[in-house]
Amino acid sequence: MTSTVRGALLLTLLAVLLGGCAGGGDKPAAGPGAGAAASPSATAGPAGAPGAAGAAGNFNPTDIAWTQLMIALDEKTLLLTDLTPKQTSDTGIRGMADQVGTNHRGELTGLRDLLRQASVAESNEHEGHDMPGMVTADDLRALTAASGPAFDQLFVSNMRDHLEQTLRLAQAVEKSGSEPNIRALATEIERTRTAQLDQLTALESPGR
Amino acid sequence: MHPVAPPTRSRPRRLRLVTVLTGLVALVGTYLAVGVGPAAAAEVTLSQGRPATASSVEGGYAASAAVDGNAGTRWSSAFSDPQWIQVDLGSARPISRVALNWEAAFASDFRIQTSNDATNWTTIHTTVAGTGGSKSIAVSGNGRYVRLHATKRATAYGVSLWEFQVFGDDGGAPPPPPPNGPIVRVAEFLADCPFTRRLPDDPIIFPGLAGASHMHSFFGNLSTDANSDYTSLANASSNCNPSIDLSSYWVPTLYNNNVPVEPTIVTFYYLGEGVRADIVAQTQPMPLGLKIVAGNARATSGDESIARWSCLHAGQVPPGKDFVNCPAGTMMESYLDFPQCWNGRDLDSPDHKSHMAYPVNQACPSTHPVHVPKLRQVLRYPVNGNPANFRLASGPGYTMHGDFFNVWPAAEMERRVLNCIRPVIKCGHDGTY
Repeated sequence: MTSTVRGALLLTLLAVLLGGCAGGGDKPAAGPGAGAAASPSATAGPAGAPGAAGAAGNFNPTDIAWTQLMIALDEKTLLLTDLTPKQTSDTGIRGMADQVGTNHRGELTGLRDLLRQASVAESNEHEGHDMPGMVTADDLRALTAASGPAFDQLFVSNMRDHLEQTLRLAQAVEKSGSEPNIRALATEIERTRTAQLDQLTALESPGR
Repeated sequence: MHPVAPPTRSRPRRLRLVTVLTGLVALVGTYLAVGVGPAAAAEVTLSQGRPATASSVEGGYAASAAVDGNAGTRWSSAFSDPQWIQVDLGSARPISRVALNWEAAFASDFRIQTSNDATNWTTIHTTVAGTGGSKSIAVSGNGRYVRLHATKRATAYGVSLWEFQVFGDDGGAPPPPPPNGPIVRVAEFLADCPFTRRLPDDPIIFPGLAGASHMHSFFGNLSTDANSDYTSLANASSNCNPSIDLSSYWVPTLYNNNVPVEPTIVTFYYLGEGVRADIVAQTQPMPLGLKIVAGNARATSGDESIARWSCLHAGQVPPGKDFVNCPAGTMMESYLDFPQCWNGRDLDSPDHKSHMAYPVNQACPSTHPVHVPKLRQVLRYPVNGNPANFRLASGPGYTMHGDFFNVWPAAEMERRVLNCIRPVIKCGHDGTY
């Protein structure tokens, strides 16, 4: 045994003796907390792990994550819909952009209200990422550079990715979320997305 | 330790121990001196920190926990008879006493045995219808191995010992060095956890939202997906060495020309560094279910990142915040240190970061007072050369980040903190040195 290990043993002994002083008893080292290791985990064991990590109300972490992600996805899509009238003269595409733009602005109001109810700050943890269903900076560069039918094609593929992903996410939060107002909004979004995807498919049909 | 005068070199070690002990006892109060000083000096513990093995181990309560000198960690056997635990003293020693500190699951019938080859055993004590608790048993024997052979359990559970101590005379010589050579004074234990799978999931940032994330590469726990929680992970298995580490680790996937590349060497070090020595000595185990995110997925330049890229076996290449150009035959590697100061209350937080903090001036800030081991993630990728075609799922090299979900069994994490981090000892995969 090296002297340093001996030193550690002495420290342990000192801790035991001091513990004895504080407790005033004969058996200061009793119990599994002898290393003082058990105390923090006792206050925050895995039983306390669910819960909304600081959020108010019935919001669970899925509710919060979904709301923040939806705000990011809808906002980026607005960049696309706002750009559309300048890049195309196709009335179907322009009408779709206008309709989705109006719908998303309404959704964003609802989403931000819910975040306030949860007392959680708005933050986009994935700003700049190539997130599934997100119109990225690279996408926007390509869209801005295109016009006419080339733009229309990019519009349809970006919009389809976004609508399909947000439909999937709405279904996931309906299953894993806990706040009733979140579920209600997700159900509404699921209904809207299904209709919007039908509309997009109609735009793509060759006979149009 | 400053109040205690450093002993002179010429004194024998045992005397030094007495001197220091006396000083300590004087500090604590004279009423406690009775029975402490002389008893500690009259004999030495031969078993502490020595290699221990057992007939079986239940629930991660390893044999070594019974000889670690810590009455808060224990060995526990499978639920059957007979069971044994033995300790290797390193060489044959005269044995004068054995102390048993039973957990509630004790053995009513057992024998204490010695051996010099761990095969042929001599019984030096027999207990029948014992009552558990703490027992000090005077014996007279000699041997390199000392075994407790439990033949009958007192409960339906296995047999479990907080401590199994063997005392004897050290013959004036210090015990032999540990089996793997000298102790390396680095506070460290580790887990090597290979790649398991890729999924566009993130159970911390997007819990319950399958497919919501950019692509991640997962390591360790084999079950991790968007719906993972502490319970699901604790009931799954892991590819880590040691496999007892059920934790889940994940990072953004690396792409080379849009083809995913997975690291072939994946090591998670748990370290006691970056804070003062007295804080290292008080390191607490990470709580079960703790979630930590490190790095900056949103970084827009190297200045906003703490992750670091370098070349394995090519130290002449300066490390960088973005990908580096590694020479042929070497591997590009990523280092990332996780925050090690916990607020002592939350296993997660709404931004997934504010319950943890990095040290300031070699100490944990008052808002995050609990010092836990520092997790260092080291990934070695089988790529080198011009990094122009490398990207992470999150973007450039400086967006490297890591996610950690602690599912180490509490007893295993605690044993490693007590045996490796606090005493500043470099431990191997099994958490011993």
